[in-house]
Amino acid sequence: MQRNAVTSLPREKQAGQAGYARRRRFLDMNDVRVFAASLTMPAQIVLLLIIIFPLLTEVYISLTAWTPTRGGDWTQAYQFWDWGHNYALVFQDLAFWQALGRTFLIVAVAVTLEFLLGLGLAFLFMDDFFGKRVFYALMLVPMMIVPAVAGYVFWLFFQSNGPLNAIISLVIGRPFELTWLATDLTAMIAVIIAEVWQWTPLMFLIMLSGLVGLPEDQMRAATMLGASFWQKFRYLMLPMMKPIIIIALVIRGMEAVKIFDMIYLMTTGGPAQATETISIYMYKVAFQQVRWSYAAAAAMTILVIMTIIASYALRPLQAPQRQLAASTEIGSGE
Amino acid sequence: MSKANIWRTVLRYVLVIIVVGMFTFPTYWMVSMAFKPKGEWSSAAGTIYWVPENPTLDNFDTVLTEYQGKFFRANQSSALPSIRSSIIVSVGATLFALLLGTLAAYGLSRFSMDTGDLPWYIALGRMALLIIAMLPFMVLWARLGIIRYWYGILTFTLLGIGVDQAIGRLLARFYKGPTGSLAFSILQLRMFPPMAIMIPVMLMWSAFKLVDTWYGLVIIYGVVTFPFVVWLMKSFFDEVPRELDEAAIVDGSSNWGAFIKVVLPLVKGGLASTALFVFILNWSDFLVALLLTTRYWPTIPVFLNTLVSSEIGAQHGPKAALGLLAVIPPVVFGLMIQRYLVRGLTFGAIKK
Amino acid sequence: MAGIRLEGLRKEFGHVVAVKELTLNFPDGKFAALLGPSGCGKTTTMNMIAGLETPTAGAIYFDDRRMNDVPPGKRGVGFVFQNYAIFTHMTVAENIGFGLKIRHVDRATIEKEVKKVAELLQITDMLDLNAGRLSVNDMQKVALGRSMITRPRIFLLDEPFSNLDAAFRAYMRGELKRIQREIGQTMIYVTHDQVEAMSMADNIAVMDFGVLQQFGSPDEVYNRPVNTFVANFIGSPNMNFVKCSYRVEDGQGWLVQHNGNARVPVDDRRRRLLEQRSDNAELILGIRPEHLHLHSQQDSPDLLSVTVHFVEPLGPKTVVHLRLGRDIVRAIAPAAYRAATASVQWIGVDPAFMHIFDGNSGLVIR
Repeated sequence: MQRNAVTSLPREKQAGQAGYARRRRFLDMNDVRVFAASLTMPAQIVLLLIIIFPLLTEVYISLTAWTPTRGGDWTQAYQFWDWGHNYALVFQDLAFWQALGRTFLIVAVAVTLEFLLGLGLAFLFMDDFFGKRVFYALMLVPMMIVPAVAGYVFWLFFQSNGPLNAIISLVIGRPFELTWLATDLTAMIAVIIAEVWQWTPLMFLIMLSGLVGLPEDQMRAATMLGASFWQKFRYLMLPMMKPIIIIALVIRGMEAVKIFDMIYLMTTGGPAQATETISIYMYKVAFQQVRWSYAAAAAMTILVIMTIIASYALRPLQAPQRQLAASTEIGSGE
Repeated sequence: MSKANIWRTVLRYVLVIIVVGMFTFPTYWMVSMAFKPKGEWSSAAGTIYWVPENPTLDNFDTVLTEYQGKFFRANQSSALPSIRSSIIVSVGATLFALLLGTLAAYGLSRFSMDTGDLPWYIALGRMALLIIAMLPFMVLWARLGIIRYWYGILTFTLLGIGVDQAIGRLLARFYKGPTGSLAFSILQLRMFPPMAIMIPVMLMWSAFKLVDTWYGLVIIYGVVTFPFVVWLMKSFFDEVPRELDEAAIVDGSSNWGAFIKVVLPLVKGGLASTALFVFILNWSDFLVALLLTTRYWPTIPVFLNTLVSSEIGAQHGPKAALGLLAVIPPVVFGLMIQRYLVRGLTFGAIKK
Repeated sequence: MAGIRLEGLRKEFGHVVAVKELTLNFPDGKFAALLGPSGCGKTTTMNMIAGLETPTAGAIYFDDRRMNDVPPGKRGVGFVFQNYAIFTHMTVAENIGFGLKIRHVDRATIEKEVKKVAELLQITDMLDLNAGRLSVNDMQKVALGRSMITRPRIFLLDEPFSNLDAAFRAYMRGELKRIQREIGQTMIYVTHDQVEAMSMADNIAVMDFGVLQQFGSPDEVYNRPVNTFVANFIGSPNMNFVKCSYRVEDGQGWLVQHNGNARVPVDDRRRRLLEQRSDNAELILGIRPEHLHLHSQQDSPDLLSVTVHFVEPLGPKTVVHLRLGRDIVRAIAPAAYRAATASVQWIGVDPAFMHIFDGNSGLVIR
C-alpha cells in the first residue's frame, strides 16, 4: 500500500518521499534519481572498465623500453624503465608526423568528395522517377560490402592490367597501363577513390534525409513569390541544411581518421609510406618492427591530439542540443 | 510537360545513370568474379573478361566446403566457420551495443543537462591526474605479479574508478565549469583509432581469457560501437516530447513502463536505422578481429585475408564469392528496414 | 488589378473529382470569398488560380489573358498559406523582402519597401527578430507582408486566420478589409467559416462537392439562397427546414406540414408557380429563426402551435428550440425571454421571408 502511495504521486513528491521509500526498497525504480542512474550507470561502468586499465597499461608500457622480444612478460616491463625517452622519439619521428599529416589530407579530400557527391545524389533522388527504388538500392550497396573485400577488389581494379586501365584505354583510344599502386600520387588517389566509393552512400543517406525533411510549405511559398530553383536552393535549402551538413561532415571526418582496412589491403601504406596513415603506421611499428613501447607512446600521443580535436569538432553537434534544451524551457515565443 | 521539364528529366536520368553506374561497377566486378571459373579470374589470363563466359558456382563450392576436421585452422579453405563467427559476433555485439546505448541515450536525453561540452584541457587534465595517481599502483601491481591475472586487473580497475571519482570531486572544488561529461567520454571512444588501444586491449583480453572467443569479440565490438548508438538514439529520443513520458506516469505507469511501453515504440524507426549501421560497423571490422582471434573464431574479413597463401596463390574467385555472400546479411537487414532509413537520419538537426 | 475569370474549370485526382465544371467571374478589385465545407474543392480551386495545380480541363483568365500555362511564380499572384510558411531561418525583414530580393532589386529600395509594409501591418518593431520565434499572430502578419511587397494584382488567401485565436481573428478581419480597400487588389479568400465570409467579402462563392452552388453578395446568399445547401450553410443559427406539400384548401394555397398538421398560406405568385408543377412532389419550407415571431398566446388565427423543447440563452439573444408537430424549429427571442419546457407557445411565420425549396433537387422555387 505504501508503494502505491509513492508511485501515484507526481514526481516532485516522489523525490521527497524517496527517503521513506528507500527504507523499504533499496533500488526503488520509481525514484527519478535511481531510475536515471540505472539508465546511464551500465554505460558509465563499461566506459570506466574499458578505459582505466588499457589507458594505464599503455602509459606504463610507453614509459619503458620493453618489447615482447626482450624478455619476459609485459608485466615485467618496469625492469626496462625509460621515462620519457619514447615520447621524445615520437616528437622527432618524421614518419609519425608525416603519417598524421597524410591522414588528415586523405580525410579532408575524401570527406569533401563524399559530401559533394552525396549532396548531389540526394538532389537527384529528391523527387520520384521511374526506377528510383532500384537505383537507390544499388547506391546503398557499397556501404554494405565488407572493407576487407572492397579493399581487395579495388586492389585488383588498380592493377596495371586491371579493368580500370582497360576502361581508360577504351575511352582514350590508346593503351593505358599506369601502375596506380606503385606511384606515390596515384596510390594516394586510388586509396581516396576507394574510400569515397565505400562511404558516399552514408553521406547520400544523411543528405537525403535532410532534404526530404525540409518543410515543403516554405518551398511552395518561395515558388509563389517567384523564386527559381537555384534561388530556392541558395536562400532556402542550403541554409536549412546547414546544421545537418555540419554534423554529417564531423561524423564522417571522425570515422575517416581511423582508416585502415582499405589501405592495408591495397597498398599496406606503400609505395614506401606514400599512403601510410596513422593507423597503418602504428600497426607497422607494433607488429612489424615489434617496438611495443614505442607504439604505446605513439598511441598516447594520438590520444591526446584526438581529444583536443574532438572537443572542438564536437561543438557543432551540441548546437542542436542546446537549442533544444533552450526551446523546451522557454516555449516558442508565445 | 514543358520543354524545361523534359530537359530536366533527361538530365536527371543521365546523371543518375552515370553516377550510380560508377558506384555499381566495383560491385559488379566482384559479383562477376564470383561466378568466373578459375581460368577467367586467375592472374595468368591476359585478357579481362567483362562478363563471365562460363559462369560457374565453383568458387562458392571452394569457399564453403573443403571443411576438414573438427577444428578450423586459418589456412584451410572453408569459410563456413567464419560465416558462423561473423553472424554470432555481429548480432551479439549489435544487441549489446543497442542495449547499452539506448538506455544511456534515454538517460542523457531525459535526465541530464550534459551536452558533451567539455573543454579539452579539462578532459586531458583529468586524464593526466588519473594517470599520475594510478601509475604507481600499476607498477606496484606489476611488481606484485598480480597484474597479469584477472583479479589483479579487476582490483586495479576498481581502485581506478574510485580514484577517478575522487579526482572529479576535487576538480569540482576548484573549477567552476563542467569537470566531466559522460557524453563527451562516450564520444571520445569513437575518436580513437582502434590501433591506438589494441595493444593494451590484447593484453587485457588474454588476462581474462577472452582471446579467440565469440564473447570476447562481442564485448570489444559492443564497447567500440555503442557510442554510435548513444549518438543516434539520443537525437531520436530528443524528438519525442517529454510530455508523453509524463502523461504515462500520471496515468499510473512506472518509469520503466513509460520508457518501454510509450517512448520506445515511438522511436522504432530510429532504432532500426541505428541497428543497421551498428551491424554494418561490426560486420565489417577487420583489425580488431585480426588481433583478437586465432583458431576458432575468425570472422569473415579475417578469413578472407588468409585466403592468400603461398601454397594456393591469389584466390580472386573464391574471395569474390565469399565477399558476395558476406554482402547478403547487411543487404537483407537493410531491405527489411529501408523505409525507416530516409526519415530518420537527421540527428535532430532539422526541425519539423 | 485584374478580374479573374474561370471557365469550365475541372480538376480530377485519379478517380476523385475535386472541382466540377466551375465557371465564375471574380470582379476586379473586389474581395471575394470561396466558402464551403471541407473537401468542397475551394482550396483546389485556389491552387489552380495560383498555378500550384494544373486543371484537368477548363481555363483561367486574368483580365482576359489565359493563364493555364503560366508557371506559378510568374502569374503576379500573392499567396498566403494556411500555416503561413514563413521562412523560419530568416529575420522578419528578410522574409518580407524576399520577393524583391529574388527580383534583384537593390538593397536600399528593399529596405524602404519593407519598412512601408511593416508600417502598414504595424510590425516595425519586429523587423530584426528571427521569424521562427514569433507568436502565431505575428507570423500571420509577416506572411501577409511578404506576399504584399511585390504588389501583386491578385491576392489569394487560404484560410489564413483559422489558426489564430478568436480575438485576433476578429481584429485581422478588419485589418485585411481595410488593407484591401486601401490598395484595391482583387482578393480571393478561402474559408469554411461563413461568419468570416459574410463579414469581409463583397461576393461569396459557395461550393459543395466541387460544384459551385451560388455566387453573389452576402445579402444575396443570405436572403435569396439558390438551394437548401446555401440556405443551410449561411446564417447562424441555421435556417429552419420543414418538409411539406402543396394543397389547395378553402380556396387558398397552403403548404401543409408532413410531420404534423401545421399549415401556412402561400402567396399568389408562388401559388401559380407551384400549381404549374406537374408533380406534387415534396417541398421544403425554409425560414430563418429571426423570421419566426414568438407569441405566448394565439394572438391571431395564423399563428401555429408549438411546444418548447429547450431554451438556449446566448447572451445578447436567446434561441428557443420548439416542437412543431414532430419537427423541431428554432426561433430567436430577446435575451430575457424565458419559457418553461413543454409549455405551449405560438409562432408566426413571416410570409415575406419564407423560402420554398423543391424536396428532391433542393432548388428554390421563386
